[in-house]
Amino acid sequence: MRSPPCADAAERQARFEAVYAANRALILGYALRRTANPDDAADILAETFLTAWRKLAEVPADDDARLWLYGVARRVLANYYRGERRRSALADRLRAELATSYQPPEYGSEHARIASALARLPEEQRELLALDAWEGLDYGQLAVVLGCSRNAVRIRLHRARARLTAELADISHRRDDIHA
Amino acid sequence: MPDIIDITQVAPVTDAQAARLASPAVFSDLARQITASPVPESAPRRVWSARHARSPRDLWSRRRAKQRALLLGGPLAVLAAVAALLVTVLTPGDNGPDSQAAIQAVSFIKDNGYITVIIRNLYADTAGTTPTSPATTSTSRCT
Repeated sequence: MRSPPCADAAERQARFEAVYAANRALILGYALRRTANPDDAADILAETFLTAWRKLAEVPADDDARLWLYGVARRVLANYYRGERRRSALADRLRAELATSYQPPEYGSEHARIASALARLPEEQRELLALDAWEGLDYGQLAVVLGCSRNAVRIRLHRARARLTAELADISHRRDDIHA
Repeated sequence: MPDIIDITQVAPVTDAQAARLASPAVFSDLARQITASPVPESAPRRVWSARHARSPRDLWSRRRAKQRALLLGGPLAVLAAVAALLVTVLTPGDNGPDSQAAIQAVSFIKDNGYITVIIRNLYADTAGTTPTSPATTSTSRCT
C-alpha cells in the first residue's frame, strides 16, 4: 500500500484536508475518552494532526490513516501522561469551544463501579480494552496500532478482561463489606 | 474466560458526539493553522504502512528469518564439530610406534635371517621420556 505522492503544495494540502475531515471527530473522541478534559483533548487533536501534516508522506491511504492517527495520538497522550503538557496556540479556538460544549458524563452507581475498575488497571491494559471497546478495533487493527502480533493482542486482551473482572469483584466485595 | 464487561457504557463521549462538540468553522480554523505551519525539511522516510513497520506480518517474517538461520546454522555447526573430531583422531600423535620416543626406546637389527630387537628401556614412555635403564636384547628367527 502506498501513500499518494504529494507532488505540490496544493495536492499536499488537499490530501491533508481529506485525512483531517475524515478523522478529526474520531481523534477528538479518542482524546476526550482518555482525558475527559476538553483542554487536553484540544491539544492532543492539534498535536496529532500537526504530526500528520509534517509527515504526510507517511500517512497511509484509506482506513489505515485512522490507525496511523490513533498511533500518533497514543504517543501524544503518553507524553501528556508523562507531564509534558503544553498548550498549543493552534488549539485556542477549539479549546474555548469545547470548554462550553463538552459536559463530562455523570455515571450511575453501576457505571461508576465499572469506571473505577477500569481506572485501577495498568495504563497498557486500560488502553487495550478502550481501543477494543471504544474505538471498535478488531485484533488485526489493534496489532497495527500497538505494534505487536494478533496473537499477542488476543492474549493481552484476555488478561486485561480477567484483570478488569477481578477489580470489579474486588470493588463489589469492598462495597458489600462497608454496607454490612 | 472472564465475563465480558461492556465498557462502552462508560465512554465519556462517542465519536458522533465528539463531531458535534465543535463547529465546522472551528475545525476548519484548526486545519488552516496547521497547514500554515512550516514542514521541516528532512530526508525521505519510509512510507508507513499497516503491513510494514512492526506489523504482525513484519514480526512473522523476522521470526521466519530466525528459523531459517537456525536451519542453516545448526547443520553447519554439527559438520564443523565432526570435522574437528576426525582431525583430532586421525592425526598421528607423538606417542605412536613411529614416534621419536619409541625409536629411542627400541631398535631392530636384521642379520642372517634373524631380527634382533634391542630394548633400550623397558619402562620407556613413548610419550617422550629418556631411557633410564640399560638396554636388553632379544633375538628371534624371522621366517
